[in-house]
Amino acid sequence: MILITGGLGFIGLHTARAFIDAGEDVVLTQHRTRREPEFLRDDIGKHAFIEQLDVTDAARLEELGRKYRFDGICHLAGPGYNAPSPKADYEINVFGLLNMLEVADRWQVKRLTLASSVAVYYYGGVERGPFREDMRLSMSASNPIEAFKKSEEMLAWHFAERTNIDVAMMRIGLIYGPLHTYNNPAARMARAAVDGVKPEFPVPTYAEDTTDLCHVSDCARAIVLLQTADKLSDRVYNIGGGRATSNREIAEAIERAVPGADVASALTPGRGPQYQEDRYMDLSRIRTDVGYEPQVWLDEGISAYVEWLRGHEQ
Amino acid sequence: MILITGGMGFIGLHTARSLIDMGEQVVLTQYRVAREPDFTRAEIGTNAFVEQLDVTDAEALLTLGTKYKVDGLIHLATPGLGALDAAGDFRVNMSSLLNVLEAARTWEVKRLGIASSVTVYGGIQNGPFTEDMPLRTTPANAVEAYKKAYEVLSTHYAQRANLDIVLLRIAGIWGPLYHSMGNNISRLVHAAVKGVEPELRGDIYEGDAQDYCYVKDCGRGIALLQSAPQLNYLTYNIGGGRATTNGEIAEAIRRQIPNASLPMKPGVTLDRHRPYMDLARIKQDVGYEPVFSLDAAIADYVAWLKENPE
Repeated sequence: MILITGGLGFIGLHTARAFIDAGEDVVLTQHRTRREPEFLRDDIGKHAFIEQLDVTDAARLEELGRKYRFDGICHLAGPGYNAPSPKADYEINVFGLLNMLEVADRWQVKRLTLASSVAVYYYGGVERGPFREDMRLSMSASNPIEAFKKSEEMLAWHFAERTNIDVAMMRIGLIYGPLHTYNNPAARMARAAVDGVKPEFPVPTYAEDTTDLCHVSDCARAIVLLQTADKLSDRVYNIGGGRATSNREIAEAIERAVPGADVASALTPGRGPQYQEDRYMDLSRIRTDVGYEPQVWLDEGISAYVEWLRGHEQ
Repeated sequence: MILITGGMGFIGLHTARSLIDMGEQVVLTQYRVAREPDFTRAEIGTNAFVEQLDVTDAEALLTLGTKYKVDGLIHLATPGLGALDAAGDFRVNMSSLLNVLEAARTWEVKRLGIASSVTVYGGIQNGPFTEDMPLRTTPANAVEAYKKAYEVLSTHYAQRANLDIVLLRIAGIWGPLYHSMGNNISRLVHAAVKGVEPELRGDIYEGDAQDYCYVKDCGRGIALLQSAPQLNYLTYNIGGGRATTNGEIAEAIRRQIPNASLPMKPGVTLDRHRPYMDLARIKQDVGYEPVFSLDAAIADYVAWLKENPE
C-alpha cells in the first residue's frame, strides 16, 4: 500500500493510476482539492482509498498509519502558488515534510519519494542546461516553488543521512495533460484552441522560451519506477521529457491537433529576459537506474490532451 | 534596540559588545547557557538586557517585542551539535527560523541578520570562496544542511514580506568565552595556557589550513553589517580573510608560551586550495577588515585565559 499525499491533484491522480496498473494499492489524500477522479472510479474502495489529510497534522497522519499498512510514501502535496501567507506556505512545506520524514522512519516504509521541481535549476547559479542532478545551485530563490523545493531537498537529504531512511527526491519538469489546471502556457493554449478563442497570458509568453515539457503519463510512470525500484544509486532524480520544448513548438502542435486554431500568434516573438540555453534535464541517472525513457512525444501528447479537453469544459 | 537570539552565547556576547560600543542597546536571549561575563556585566540593565527564551516558542518571542522597542534582530541561536535527534534538530532549527522571520515582519525591524557558516562552501576544492558561488545540495552535515536551508528560505521569505535581511557566513571562530571547543586552535591555546597536553580529535597536520577568525573581529563584522544604513547584497562572508595552517598556529602559540606542547604531524591531508572566504564584499560595503593578526589574537586570548581561569 502506497500513501500518496496530494493524491487527488493533477500529478497525484495519474500517479495513482500508474501504481494501480502496476499492481499496487494506494491511499490518496486530499486537503482542499475536491475532484471527481473519473479514471479511478472503478478502483475506488478496491485499490484506491481516499482520505482527508492536512500534511501539517501529525496526529491525523498517525491515524492513517494505524488504519493502513504503508510500505511506501509518495509526498506530492504542497500549496503550490496558493498559500494564504508566507507563514502558511512555510508551515505546509517545511513542517509537512518533517511529518513525512518522521512517519517514513517510524513506519519503516521501504521508500519515501518527494516531489521537487526543475525550478531548482532556474536562474541563480546555473547558466545553461542540460541540467544534471549534481550541479551546484545558488542558495537563493526567485519563486516559492524554487525556494521550498530546494530547501526541502537539502533537509530531506540530511534527515536521510542521519536516520538511514530511503528517500528519493524527484525534480519534475513542466507537466501537462488531462486534469491540468491551466496555469502554464501549454495548458492555456490548448484550452483556448479547443474553446475557439485566443489564449490569454498573465505575463508576456515568449515564442522561443523553452521548458522541459513532459506528458503527465510519462511523469507518473517515472514516479512509480522510482518508488518501486529495489535499489537506487542516488537520492535525487530528474523526471522530464529530456529535451527543451519551445512555446512555439507547443503552439504549432496544438494548431496541428485543432485545425483552424490560432494560438501561436498570441506569443511574444523571440526570447524572454530569462531565457536559458538548453533548458532541459539530463535523464541519464533515471535511465540507468530504473530504465525510464519518455514515451509520449509532443504531437501525440498534445492531440490526446486536446481530445480530453473537448470532453471537459473548464 | 537590537534583539540577539543566542545573545548570551559565544559569538552573541561579542556581537553585543561591538553593538554597545557603537552606541546601540541590546536584548540578549538565552535558553540554557547562563553566564554573565565581565565585559557585559557593567552594561546589564543599562545597555544590555537579558531574557530567557526558547526561540521555538513563537508567542514568547513576540512578547519580548511588547516589552522592548526592538528595531533590529540577529538570529544566532542554534541547537548544540548532536544535542538532538534528526527530527528534533529539524523541528528546532526550522521553527526557530520561522518564528524569527515572523517576529521581524511583525516588529517591522530595520534589518534581520541570520547566522550562516563557512560550512556552506563544503565540497568546493578551490578557494577563496565568494558569496556568489553556486553550492552543492547534498549537505555533509547538520550545519551545512540547516544553514543552506536557512539561506534559501529566508531569502524567499524576505522577498515576500519585504524584509531587509543579511545572511552572515561565519568562519571558524575562536577566542574568549568559547566553550564548545569545536576547533583545534581553541584546544591548542587552552592546553598551552594550562600547561597540559591538548585533547585533540584525531591527528593534526601542520599543513592543513582553514579560515579562522578571532571572535572579536567576527562580532565587529556582524555589528557592522547589522547597523549599516544600506547593504548591496544579501549574503556576506565574515572571516579571517586567509587560510591559517596548523603549523602557523603552533608557531604563534610558541611565541607566547615557548614550552607549549603542540603535537602535530608533518604534511597536508586536506585536499583544498586556498580554503578561505573572500572578504571583498564586506570590505567594500561596511569597511570590515580583520584587525587581529594571528599573533595579536593569540596574545589577547592567552591574556584573557590567564585572567579568567575556569
